[in-house]
Amino acid sequence: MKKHGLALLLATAILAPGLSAFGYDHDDKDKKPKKTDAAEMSIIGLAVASTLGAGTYLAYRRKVRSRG
Amino acid sequence: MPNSSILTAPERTAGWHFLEGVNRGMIRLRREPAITVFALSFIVICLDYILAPGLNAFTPVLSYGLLVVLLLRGSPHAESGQPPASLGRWRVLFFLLLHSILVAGFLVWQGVNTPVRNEAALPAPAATLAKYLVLLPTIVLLPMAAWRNLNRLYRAEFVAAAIALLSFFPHRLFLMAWPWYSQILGRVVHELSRPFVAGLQYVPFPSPTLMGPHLDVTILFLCSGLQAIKLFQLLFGLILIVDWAFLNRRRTLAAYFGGLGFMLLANVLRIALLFVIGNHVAAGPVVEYHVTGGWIFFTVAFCLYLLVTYRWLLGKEASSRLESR
Repeated sequence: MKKHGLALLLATAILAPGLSAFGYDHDDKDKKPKKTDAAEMSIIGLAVASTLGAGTYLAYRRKVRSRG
Repeated sequence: MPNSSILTAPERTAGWHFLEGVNRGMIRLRREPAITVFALSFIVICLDYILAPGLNAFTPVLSYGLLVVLLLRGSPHAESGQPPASLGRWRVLFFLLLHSILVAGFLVWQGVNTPVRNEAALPAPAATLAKYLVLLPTIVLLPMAAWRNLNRLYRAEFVAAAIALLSFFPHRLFLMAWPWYSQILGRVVHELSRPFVAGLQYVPFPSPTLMGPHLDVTILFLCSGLQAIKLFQLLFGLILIVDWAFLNRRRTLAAYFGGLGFMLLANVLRIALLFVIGNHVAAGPVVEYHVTGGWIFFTVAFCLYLLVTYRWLLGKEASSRLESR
């Protein structure tokens, strides 16, 4: 439970800035999805990759702890 | 707060564990001057960063933050036989004064320079100097004898924080090295791809370019591997924080630098694979998805590195301690 909470907290903290890159330009009346630029792609990529990596690490750590 | 003597083990919730952890942390904060000193410095440098972002204090914030967490995650040292050094009021005031002078000095410099030269950021050498200057006031918080004692007790934590300070998110270092590193990267990718792509041509300048029958690949700064390094440093930082008490310190140091090298090699392999797949299988999807694919590739590379090194990092003694918890 504690580990799941930690993983969720971590994923949220990492994903939040990445997800904020999505959405609409406020000036765009047609509300077309905003085109993601290289800097935003970099943040999103890093956020998703970190979450995946962190999840794998925590799961592997759990396995090591349970098997010794 | 629930009474620990009344609750049985299964009734102890995550919230109870969290409160217990916070309580333990607060006790250690009072008993161990190192934690108090660096927690205070961390808070003040965060304020510096908020008040004067141009002071380039992001890495010091990261470094001190990591240091405080590692000190809290490590074994308590209050019972080491030495009386704890007190944090004198005058020392704290002098420390705050030094930080105020630093921030005020920078803001005055910015106020003078922005209208005249339209420059709000420090020149590169001054920015690097500022990064280290914000760390210096911490020294006045304790007498030298106490620092010597702390250096003996917490050497591993200090080394970890210093490495984080010097090497985390090395954007400027990559920019500096890019003119010659791009050439090495281009040459290595060329040599790796040559056996698999017939008629491959290599143009080293202005940016290294591999020209194939169906797809040409130009190696830009974005392909330098900096993203892979950032990902590795974030995840390795997480390993340090979670497992600090169980890690073999020397092996951890070796695994950190080994991992940086491994991620740079993974980047070389990524570019070579993109070029080979683009010329043999499908050029369109490679062009379209190479950035996303790169992140997946780096994640897989990190996971492989973790699988190979993790048990070795823990060592036999720590593995058995982990098992018994």
